[in-house]
Amino acid sequence: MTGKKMLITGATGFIGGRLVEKLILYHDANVRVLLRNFARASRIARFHVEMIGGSITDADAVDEAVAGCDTVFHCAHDFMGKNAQQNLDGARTLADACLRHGVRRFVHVSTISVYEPLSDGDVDESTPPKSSGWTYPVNKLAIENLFLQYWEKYGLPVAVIQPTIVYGPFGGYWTDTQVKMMRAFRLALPIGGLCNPVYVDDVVDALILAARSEEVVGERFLISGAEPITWREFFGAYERMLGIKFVAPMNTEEIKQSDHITMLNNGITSNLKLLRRDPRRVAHRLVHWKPVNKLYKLAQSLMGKNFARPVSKALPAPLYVPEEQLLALYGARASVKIDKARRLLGYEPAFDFDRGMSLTAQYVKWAKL
Amino acid sequence: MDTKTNGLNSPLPRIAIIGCGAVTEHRYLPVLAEMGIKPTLLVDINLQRAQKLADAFNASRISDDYRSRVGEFDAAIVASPHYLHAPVVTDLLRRGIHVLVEKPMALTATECDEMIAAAEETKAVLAVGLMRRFIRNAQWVKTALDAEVLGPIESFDFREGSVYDWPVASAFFFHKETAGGGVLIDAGAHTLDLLLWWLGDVASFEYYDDSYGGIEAECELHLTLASGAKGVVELSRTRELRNTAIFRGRRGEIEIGLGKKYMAANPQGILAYTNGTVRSDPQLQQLYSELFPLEIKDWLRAIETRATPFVPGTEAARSVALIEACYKQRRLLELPWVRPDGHRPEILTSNQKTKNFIN
Repeated sequence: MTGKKMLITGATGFIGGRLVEKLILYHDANVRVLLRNFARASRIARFHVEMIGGSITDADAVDEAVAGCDTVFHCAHDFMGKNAQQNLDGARTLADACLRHGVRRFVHVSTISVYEPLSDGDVDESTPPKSSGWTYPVNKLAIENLFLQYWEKYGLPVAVIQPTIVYGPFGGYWTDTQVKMMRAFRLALPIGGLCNPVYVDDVVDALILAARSEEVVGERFLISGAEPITWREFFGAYERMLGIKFVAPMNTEEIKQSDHITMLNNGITSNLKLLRRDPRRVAHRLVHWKPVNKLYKLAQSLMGKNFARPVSKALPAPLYVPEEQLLALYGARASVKIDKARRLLGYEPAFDFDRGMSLTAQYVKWAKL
Repeated sequence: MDTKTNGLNSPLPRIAIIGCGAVTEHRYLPVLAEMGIKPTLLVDINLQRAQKLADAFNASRISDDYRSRVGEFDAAIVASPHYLHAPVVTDLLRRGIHVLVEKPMALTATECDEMIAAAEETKAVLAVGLMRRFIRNAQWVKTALDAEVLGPIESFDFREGSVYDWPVASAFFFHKETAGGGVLIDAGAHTLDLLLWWLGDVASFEYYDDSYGGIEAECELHLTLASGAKGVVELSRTRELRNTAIFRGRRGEIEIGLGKKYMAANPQGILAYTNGTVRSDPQLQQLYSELFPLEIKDWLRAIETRATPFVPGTEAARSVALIEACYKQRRLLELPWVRPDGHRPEILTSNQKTKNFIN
């Protein structure tokens, strides 16, 4: 890979950002990125990286970005549901440019979500994808299928990587978001569900292997850690890291029947129910009323800005009930098999959960999340 | 000359804006419009962008090269990519054109010296856009520290960081060659300017950042000042830090917001200090949009009266010299997850010193 031009889309994101770092630090690659928003480039700009501004739906920008590249890593994905079509259109634009410029290898970052809702038992690449109707899995599956059709019809040398629950430094949903959630809520978690975590460096190494290996074209690869753990263990690591109690174990039926689900709904009724049930939420709302706000500010000026923290800490955090898709994920007892990646990619996870979480803990402390 | 006076006695100079990036679009042009000042000329290598802003803000003319329009303007706001500040500003000053240049004033102390010499030669005004000096509470801190309300300063602690979201219009900001560096030369230009203004010169320092051949997103500066005070400056483009500066002396401590409204002291009575004209106000919120008019008015008054602007080149050059010295002596700020196996890549020199992050 030394000196070869590599294009990365989504390089300002979690996996793409780490891929930039590892390609340059460990493989001496010549990295180019296509990015929509320069303001998000702080992390990758630490390296000598060629930046091309533009969206993956902008054919001219994509063409300029792909030209002269040996390998293209497609990590970009807009998670806003309303932009699903844009993700698909961009994928087609990118695939066309890769064909036009004769890219040697195209590595696509997909997701385990294409198999959702997960069934109990083993999950591997032969597990038939389901039509969940949920926007993210449907969109990612459509994109994955598009690229594989480009291989079958036009010979686009694509390899598809399907990471599981990716965590680690700068870690989007399964690190940064969870830590922020934990500071505000407790989680209604189904008992006994299995989590298939993978440290971000292992995913990035799999992407790089997919760019190098010959036997991977036209194939999908699930990428996970060596063994599943329970979701209770997954969140337990964060609880220990933060010194916070987050998980409220419940059985799935109990959660489904719970009227706590109403807290996710907007509207007066749900707010009233919430206010009745949760004293801390009552306090949060009261403090926005003008007379109360004046008193609050007066108390702040007399006793310091954190005067209410002990009271706030003493009250129980509101309960967060996952929506349908997450609830299904947390409840499933699915065990992801990585035998195919081991066999064809030569993939072997280098980070067990303890080591991955140890690095993640250092990041969380440093990032002051 | 424009006939509008905007509270000044003489007619306004004809003003050109050189560089049509985010700061021009989001700060200078709206503020000038608010002040009733119409720029004579907008200059940018990207003429489409210059035209877009000229249409939006009613500017008379556009150009992709100010040199072809010399004679059409008397003063210029220079907000070009950092590496062009020195050549453009020096050229303008030598032509007798007054300049307000965005921070950082330049990339090196030598460049600053040339700019200052050019201004002295033609008596043109050179002001630098370090508008945080116009924050009233920052001015109060200056008077309070000068008056030794805390006694001699023993230590200080500056932490400034947030997730970067400035609407940059091009990639120049993220390339070493055009930006000169990362968070140190960008946000740090403000932070270090205030530090030197408040506390005086630096005697020695150690500097660490996280660049691997590009520009740093994080940096740490450990300083010993000529006064003997010791302290740290930490800057970040990826994390929310405390965003305050703390000063500690025998008689207490003062904490002031950096880029945010905050003012506190222990004991609280310290906040009552006044030199008769400057007072502290913990409730005071001065937005950047309120500081730019102060900065522009100060520059225009300096042009009118041939006085020294509030932040002249000689003052701004101090932080540029410190930033330049930092980059020359940089050591790697090692974050444990970047090379968890201790791998030593080619891009690290064999003798490069490193340091693990601290909290």
